[in-house]
Amino acid sequence: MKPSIQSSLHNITRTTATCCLRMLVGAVTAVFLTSSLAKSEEIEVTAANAKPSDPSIAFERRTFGSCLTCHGSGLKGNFATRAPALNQLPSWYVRRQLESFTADYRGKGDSDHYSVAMYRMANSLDPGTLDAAAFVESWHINDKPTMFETPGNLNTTDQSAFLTGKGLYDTKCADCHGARGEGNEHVSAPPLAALAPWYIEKQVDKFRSGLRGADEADIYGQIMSGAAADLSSEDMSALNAYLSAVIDKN
Amino acid sequence: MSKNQKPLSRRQLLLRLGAAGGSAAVYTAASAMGLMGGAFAAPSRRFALRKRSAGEAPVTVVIIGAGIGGLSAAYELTRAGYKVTILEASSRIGGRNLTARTGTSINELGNVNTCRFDNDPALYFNCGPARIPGHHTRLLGYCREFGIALENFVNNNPQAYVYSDQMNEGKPVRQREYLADAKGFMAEFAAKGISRQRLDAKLSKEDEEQLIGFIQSFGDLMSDMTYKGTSRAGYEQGGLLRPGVVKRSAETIDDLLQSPYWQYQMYFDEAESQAPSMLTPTGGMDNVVDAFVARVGQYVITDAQVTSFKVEPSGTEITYFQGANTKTIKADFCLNSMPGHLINGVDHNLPSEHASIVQKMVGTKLTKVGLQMKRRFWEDEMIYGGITWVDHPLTQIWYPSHNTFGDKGVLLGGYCFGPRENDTIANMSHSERLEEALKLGEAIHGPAYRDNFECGVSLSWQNFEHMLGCGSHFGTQDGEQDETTTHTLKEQLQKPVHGRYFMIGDQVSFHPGWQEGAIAISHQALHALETNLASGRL
Repeated sequence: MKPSIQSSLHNITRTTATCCLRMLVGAVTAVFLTSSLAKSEEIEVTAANAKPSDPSIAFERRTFGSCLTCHGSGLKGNFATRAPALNQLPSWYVRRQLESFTADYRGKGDSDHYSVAMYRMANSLDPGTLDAAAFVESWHINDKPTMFETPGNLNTTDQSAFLTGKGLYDTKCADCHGARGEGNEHVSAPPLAALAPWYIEKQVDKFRSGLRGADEADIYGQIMSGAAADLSSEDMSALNAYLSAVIDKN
Repeated sequence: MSKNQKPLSRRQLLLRLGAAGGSAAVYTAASAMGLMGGAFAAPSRRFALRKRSAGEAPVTVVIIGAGIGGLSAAYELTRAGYKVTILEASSRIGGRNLTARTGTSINELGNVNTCRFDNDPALYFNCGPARIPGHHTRLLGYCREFGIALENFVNNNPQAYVYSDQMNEGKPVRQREYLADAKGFMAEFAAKGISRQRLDAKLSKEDEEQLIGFIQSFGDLMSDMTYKGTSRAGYEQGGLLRPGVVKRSAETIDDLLQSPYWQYQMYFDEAESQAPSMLTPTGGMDNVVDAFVARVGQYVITDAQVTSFKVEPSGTEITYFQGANTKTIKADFCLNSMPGHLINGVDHNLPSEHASIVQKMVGTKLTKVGLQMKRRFWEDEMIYGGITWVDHPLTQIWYPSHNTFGDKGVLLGGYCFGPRENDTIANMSHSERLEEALKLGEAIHGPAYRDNFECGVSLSWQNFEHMLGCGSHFGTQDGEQDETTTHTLKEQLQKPVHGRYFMIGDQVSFHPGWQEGAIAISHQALHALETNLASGRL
């Protein structure tokens, strides 16, 4: 199967600069070799990530197109719209969160505009005809996201925060979320390696302030609620330093 | 005046007076520019690209976004023989130029509402742009060229109210009363200041008399330079068959200061873009969209959501998602009006010096509420058009400028543009927003407001499908932005990438939130595109 421009681009964001350059040159050569002024033409893309490819997914463009508006192309997340990456989250977790929004465990009573947006979106979906979790899963690119074993270059100040953060992670987070942020379905812990540090920090704040995990019926949220209560603001900034160094997300 | 401060020289004084007086300052600025000068000068002839001849190689342009920026660019390009495709993410054309009338669906994500106004051409609500100032020559040029009927739009009406629950025991005050009293008190202060101390040795006796005269006339002061009210405020009683007794909105300035009206709304209509006379298309602002669609509608692909684009020195390539299909289109040039904060979510290969600027953009927050009233009760209050200003997140009430004495009318029941206040309103459901607007309206207009209410629409642009913002700006979530930085960044974004990619839309103009800003940017991009093409360097 011929690699598409889209898949090349997809990879660009996830590889090193050298690799990125090599691929770019390859793609450019393939596409633009023939003329200095490209002819306008439409190409049906049949590459693997021209998704969703599963015809069994009940597909409603107007609704699911909106997923991409906020969460970005390929659901890779967008800080500008405060939308987390969904493309590496396991479907059990996505499904559980959609249910949390519809059960009013998440988003209800939150003054955060972005939480309200997702709360409304989740509640406007008719689960009988629109399977949002299946749509999300169709864009899945990685079943086993993990944190980097070693961080990139850190200066001395970063190094100190990093080590404090690593210590906190190993003692307070790793039991549930995994030593390298791979997640654990049994305790409903999402793979943190799949989420951006800014998003993780924001969610911990919500757990701490009771905007998540406060409802006694929210059994999964209650676990994290207890864990978050144990983290101070200083802990969070150290954890953020650590996560920012080991997670491949902006 | 403290000892450390130098007395004002005559020139300084006159300059300051000019600033306070408004018109003098405007006159000075206008003279400095030359009366016909400046960015908004009427063009001697319409913008036009050179027509490409049949023998020349076809040049292709993909435009992302079918708002006013994209449509005006497409119109100019097709007139000159370029081959154009517009990719529009939503099912409708027009961008933020959206007029709600019976049956219009307003698609806030997860919060759709349908307009239930009566099926009557006079009953509509401009959810986006609603008024055109006289200096918007590009947009007005298209209106003239397309034969779009325009009517006057009353943007400021001193007969409308100022309202704050902190002022005048929570009773509304006519703007003319507020303005008259505010100017009167200010003039009285100024006169007292002059009598206490000669301002400047260089100020001659004659100058001082002139100044006193100016202050007295500014505030309509008594001959002893005290303020005792003015007929500018209107009459409490009499004034027609019997001697008039003038109205006073406040006995002291303290009461006036309770209203935030003085902070910026007092001189609202002195701003170039808000000053009378203003215009609006008869029957709705989307007449502008319809006119463009009649000319370039065949080049628009709707429901085409761009998921990635590439810009190279040799050309551009845009991939979009349509239904269950992903398609790719190549073109010589790409004009992109996608909101900056959404460009961040799309795969692209923009050079980091451009992409890193786009990454600083966030969606702008703005909410509007429209209310259909079965009776035009505001006309009983002698209000025909204009805006009431309120100390409330909903900020404004607009009275329709058209269909005077008609059976019904559509009021703007709220126009929220404060970034923080916006979340309060935007996070409400439609019915909660309407209820909030009714509560506010009845505090000002009494029970007639709720009694005559029939149905309404509301739109928070930050929730709107495929936009998530009333444009895009540089700043934090709360909308704060540093002006100097913004200026530099916008100038950077206006520069083409590889001579082939242009970011367009009002978002990169210095006149955001106005259709004129979008059109001006498109014209600038097309001029550069044509120049690049002719240079032979591409």
